[in-house]
Amino acid sequence: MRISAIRRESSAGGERVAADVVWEDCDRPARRIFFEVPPELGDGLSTDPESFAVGCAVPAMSHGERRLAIEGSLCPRVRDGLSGAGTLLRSWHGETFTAISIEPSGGFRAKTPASPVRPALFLSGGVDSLYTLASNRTDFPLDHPASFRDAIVLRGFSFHPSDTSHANDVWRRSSTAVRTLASAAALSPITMTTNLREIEPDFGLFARYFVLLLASAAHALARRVTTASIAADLKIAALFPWGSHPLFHALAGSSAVDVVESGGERTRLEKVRALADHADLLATVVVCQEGPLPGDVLNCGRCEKCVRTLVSLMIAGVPEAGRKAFAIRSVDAEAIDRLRRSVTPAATYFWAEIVAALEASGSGELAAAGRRLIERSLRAGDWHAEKGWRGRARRFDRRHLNGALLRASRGIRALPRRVRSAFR
Amino acid sequence: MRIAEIRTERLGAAVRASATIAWEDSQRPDQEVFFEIETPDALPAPAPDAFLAALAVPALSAGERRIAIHGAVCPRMRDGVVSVCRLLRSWHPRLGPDPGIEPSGGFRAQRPPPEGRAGLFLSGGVDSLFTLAENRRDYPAAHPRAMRHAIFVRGLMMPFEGTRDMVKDIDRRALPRVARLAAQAGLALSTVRTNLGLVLDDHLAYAHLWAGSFLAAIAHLFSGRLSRVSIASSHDLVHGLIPWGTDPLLETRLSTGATEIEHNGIHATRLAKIREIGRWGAALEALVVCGESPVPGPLPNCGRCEKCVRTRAGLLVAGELDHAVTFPDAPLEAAMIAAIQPANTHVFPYFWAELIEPLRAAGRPDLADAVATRCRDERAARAWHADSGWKGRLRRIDRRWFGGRMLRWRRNLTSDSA
Repeated sequence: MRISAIRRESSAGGERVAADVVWEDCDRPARRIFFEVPPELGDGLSTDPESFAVGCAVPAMSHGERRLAIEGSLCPRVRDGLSGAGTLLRSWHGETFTAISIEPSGGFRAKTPASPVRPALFLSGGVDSLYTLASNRTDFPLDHPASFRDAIVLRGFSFHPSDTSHANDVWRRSSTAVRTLASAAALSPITMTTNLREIEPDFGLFARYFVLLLASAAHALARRVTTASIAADLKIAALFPWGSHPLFHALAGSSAVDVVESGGERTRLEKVRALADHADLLATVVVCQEGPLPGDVLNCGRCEKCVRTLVSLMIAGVPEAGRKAFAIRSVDAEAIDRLRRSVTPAATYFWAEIVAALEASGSGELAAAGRRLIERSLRAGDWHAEKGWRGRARRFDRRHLNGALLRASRGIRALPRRVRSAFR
Repeated sequence: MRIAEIRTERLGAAVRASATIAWEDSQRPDQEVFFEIETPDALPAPAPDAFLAALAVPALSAGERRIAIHGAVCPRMRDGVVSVCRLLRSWHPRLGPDPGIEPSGGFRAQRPPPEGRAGLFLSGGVDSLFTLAENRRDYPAAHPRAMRHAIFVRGLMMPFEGTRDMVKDIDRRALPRVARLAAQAGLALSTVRTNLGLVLDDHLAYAHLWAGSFLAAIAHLFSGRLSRVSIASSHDLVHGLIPWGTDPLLETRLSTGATEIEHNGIHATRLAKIREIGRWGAALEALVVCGESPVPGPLPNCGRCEKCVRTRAGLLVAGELDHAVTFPDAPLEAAMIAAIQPANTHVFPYFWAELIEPLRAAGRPDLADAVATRCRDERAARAWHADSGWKGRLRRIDRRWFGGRMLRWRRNLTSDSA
């Protein structure tokens, strides 16, 4: 992979730092990758190569590139970190991630951090980042060097393909919420747009190292930001190979920008409990990835993430008025049972502590529904791992019938919906 | 656990920071924990964070329900202690719940020192010398990450009862060399002596749970001077991280608003570290890896123990054995490798395997074969202990259904024939 022509440029949307990325050993299209901020924040952008190196190196590794040739001088901490990240990914996923040689045209040179120190956090409006913000504001006075000054809200990192109405809607809700939050919490919001995901549109691969891509956005702001906090979605007591594993954070830093993970010591339910006292923050919480949602609705209240958060808020004793960020503010056992189709293997990770708390508080029906959801999640896990007789059948179908059985089964299950829509 | 009477006093050339600990839920006598610091700069009195970092793991390990501490604690340290307890419990489920943290002065963020410097723990071993060598190579002297302070902990290898003479001997060998290197590299050097190890007085707990927090605690004694302190990694990502008392996810959590604790070097294997050290002559003159005692004569390394032989093999591969002035001149022989008694079955597969091919390439197939044999044997021993493979299954059946009679019968048979 070659990264060249790193430059500052103006665009219709603001100021950007951009570079041309060319694949050398695999047949993928060349891209012009950019990080864009509003014009008034353009001075914070750095044309040093760290952002592009951190953002592109692992995709290069995952597509068998032999080197990363990059224009300019690169921070030696980034070199070591990327080498470490590659090793870590190989230890988890095997040789899908090849070792690459990092070749900056200007050699390796440490970068000096911006002065004065300016910590930022990535703020999506979700529970994890709100908790990080709330605890920072509780723990550090505003003039403390560890007190957050900037909130980075990143466009282009949605779970959905970018520039769809779905992704645009999630962005609209998230950015609106963050702007409100930022002004209430004395933070400068930095809305940044990037097309970095065009380098790796495959979500399955992106999910294995996405913290590095977030870190690349922080490096793009190296003339302004000195520390970037990324809220943990994994709890330290139960880590597993995942793109936000806390080992990545130290590997993603440079001599100018530290990348830190925050909040990993707490479980998600503990975070919600801590947020229960922050009505202002809860009023803008955005957890919902469904959409498009109508009007000023922030969360649908029906999807798995909404239901999980609502149940957690109920456990934390947040009254219905405090759950106004949700279109539906209360959850019963039926709402949990309705999540049949959207339950993934990951649900067990989050629901186990919720069910335990529901049992402890005597909410028997909700706890029973939570247990049923966990059972479904475990079955989904078995399905993905191709365990049991269904797993064997699926493997046989995939290997010998090219997935024809699975397609037929999905077609049959979708029949009633199609019939209904035909008569509508 | 109650931590009280945190105080600082002058003791000749040293400053002594100490506290009294009282156990509440375990039957142990009250203890005084102290740190004696000899440092060129005057140090402000340490914050309670140092004592909390030091004693959190002992409290967790002993099943204490709370840590009541005199003074204010930094909220980052509070969260860090929770992290450490939870991570350790995920590795060792026998550990109890997190002890509650109850500072008499509440939680208050510490501020970094105005002219905060970067420092490191420097023992003279491969890992810390590599950290220093890499830092000097990568950062200009004026960079905020350039290390300007070294901390040498006396007795770090064995901070336990009954090891006092050994510890003195190791320090006698290492400290003057570390001091010379620090002076050459323009680093201020502080030494710390502590009786903290006696709180648990348990080799295994120190290695598996505590070593990282032990060092983090000492780093916080310098929170008035150092804004960043590095702890060199023992393990690396290439060979995989294993649950261990010093880990990039453990001690780094015990940072405060004043002092950041870093864990350096996980990207480099031990051989890569030796190669880097080999490029810096002054570092080779300070290299002390040997934990044997007493080592007679002027050289600080015995040259025969597992760590010495392994390091010499690495230096041979790096082409630096002739410059390794802290080791005896005796030639490196396969018999030395065959005679090694490793501390555990993990040592050979983890630290030695990477030497096999380079030793062959360096024209020493005899050493490469000896290492390969030992790695194979130690892997087999590990598999035996883990009951893996068909032999393991057989052993399990024997244990479960025959009360281990088959194994005893086989052992009797082999000892009779011997």
